[in-house]
Amino acid sequence: MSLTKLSMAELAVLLRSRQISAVETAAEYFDKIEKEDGKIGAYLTVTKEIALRQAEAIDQKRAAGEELPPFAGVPAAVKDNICVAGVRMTCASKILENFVAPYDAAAVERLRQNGIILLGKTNLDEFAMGSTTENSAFQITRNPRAVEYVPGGSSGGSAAAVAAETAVFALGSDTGGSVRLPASHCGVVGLKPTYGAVSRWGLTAFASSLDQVGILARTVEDTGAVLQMIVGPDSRDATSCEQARGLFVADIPPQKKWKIALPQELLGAQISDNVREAVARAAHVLESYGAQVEWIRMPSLRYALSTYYIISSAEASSNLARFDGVRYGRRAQGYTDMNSLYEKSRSEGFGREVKRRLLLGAFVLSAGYQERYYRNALRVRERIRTEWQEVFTKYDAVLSPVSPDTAAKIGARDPDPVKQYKGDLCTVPVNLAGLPAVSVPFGKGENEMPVGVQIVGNVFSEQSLLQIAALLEREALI
Amino acid sequence: MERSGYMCPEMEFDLSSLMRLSKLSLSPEEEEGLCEDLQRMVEFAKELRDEGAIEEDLPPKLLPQMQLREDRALPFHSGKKELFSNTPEIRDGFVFVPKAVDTKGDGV
Repeated sequence: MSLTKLSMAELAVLLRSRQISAVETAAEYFDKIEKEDGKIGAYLTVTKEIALRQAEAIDQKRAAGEELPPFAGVPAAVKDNICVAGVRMTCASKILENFVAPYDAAAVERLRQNGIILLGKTNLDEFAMGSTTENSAFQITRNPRAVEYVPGGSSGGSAAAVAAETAVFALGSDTGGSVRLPASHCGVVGLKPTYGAVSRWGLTAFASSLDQVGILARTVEDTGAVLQMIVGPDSRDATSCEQARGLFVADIPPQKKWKIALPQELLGAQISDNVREAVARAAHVLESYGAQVEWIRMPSLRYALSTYYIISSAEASSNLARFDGVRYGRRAQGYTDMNSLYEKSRSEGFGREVKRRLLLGAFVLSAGYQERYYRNALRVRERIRTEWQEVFTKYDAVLSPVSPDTAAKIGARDPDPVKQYKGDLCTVPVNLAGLPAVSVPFGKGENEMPVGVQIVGNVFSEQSLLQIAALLEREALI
Repeated sequence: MERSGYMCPEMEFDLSSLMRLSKLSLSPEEEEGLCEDLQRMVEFAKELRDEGAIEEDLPPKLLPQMQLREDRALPFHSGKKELFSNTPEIRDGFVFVPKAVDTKGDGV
């Protein structure tokens, strides 16, 4: 059997017992990337030389009888908006086309400490702005389940690499659903941890109050194991939390009587029949295991999308001001003064979606409009957060769709930005409240493309979410 | 920088001022397309003015309480070469930038 078919847990057993070596494992992955990534386009940069050196060092230590972390030698990919020292990090933007990260992101540091081999950097929508991975300045990524479909976004390269078995797992980032949406479209597991659970040090900032490093993996068990590696406080990220520590085991407790809520606002007319049926089936499965499932109302969620786009665009316009062609990144030629250097560099370097959001961000923060748009969005965000808190005083988790529909065909998206953004309806409320959520594959739609269901929990309830997800995963496979 | 002056029809915003704030220069085609996009986005965002959306007495909060790290200089262990490894234009060991003060009196 090919090593690329194995889950992280299965691979680790073979590596620990020295039935296979880390070099052998990495080499098999690189063979597969070379043969198959041309038609998928998951990777922007492949780090073969570095990875094989890293794998060789693991093998030498293991041969010398050194005690290694349990998953040492497992190969993984990293989204190209997360720094890996000495490796190009483009954020899928022309403005960072030749930027080489000078340091490792905190999450990458922790993967390295656990002996994870880094295969390369994966494609994304430029600066993580988009839901299809069609906004990359370099290439589109195709869905490995059917190459005429998008993989979702913005962590589409990471999800595609996991689904195509060209990475055991991958890191992504989730600002408004960017881990969960591609996980759902590609039929893999996607976890957005609680805001503050994983350090954002070394993750390129898009919207700092919403961004979180996330995980894409083949199984819920693997997802928990990766979370265990990367979670925890970090003095370099002021929003990282001590409470995040824990043991994340995706076991299924035999007698747990969960109380699960189904918000009507996330299961309305905008949701396709395929997706609504998948959520209903998931609810029945949970009921059959003794869970109590109830409909609830969350009226403020109707404002979540506009609130999200105002806040995220405002924060993006501030965060992306650093890309000006002076200290790093693309510098345009033919400038005449400082302003023209900034304007030409940024205008040549950014793509249309990024420009659109920068302009919206400038608008909602500008004098005369800030109170009406930005500050009102902050107020509504607070109301949404309070509404979630009230839900979690009565329920253990919330069950909902991830995406209103299965993956769309490449090039088929509506040119109207507002219609595009409506695809994030079920994911953005989670980021606005800083909650954890997991997307777990649960069947297929009429087009035979995967459907994911989302489980949302209270802050730092990742352990319960993984348990519920493991149960659904087991039933989906039966 | 000279601007093409595309006028967004009957809009709440002035595109050229947003371009200036965002440090972007756009082609006339881009201006037209982005103006239409922005128009739709701003219309959509207006739902936040709906009765019931906002509670005026609710103070806007940005982030939960957090401990900011101490602002202090740390030694930089890598050499100057590494420090400037991503810098697009260096002259005589310094980052090269054009003059920042406009002698024509247009400001900075």
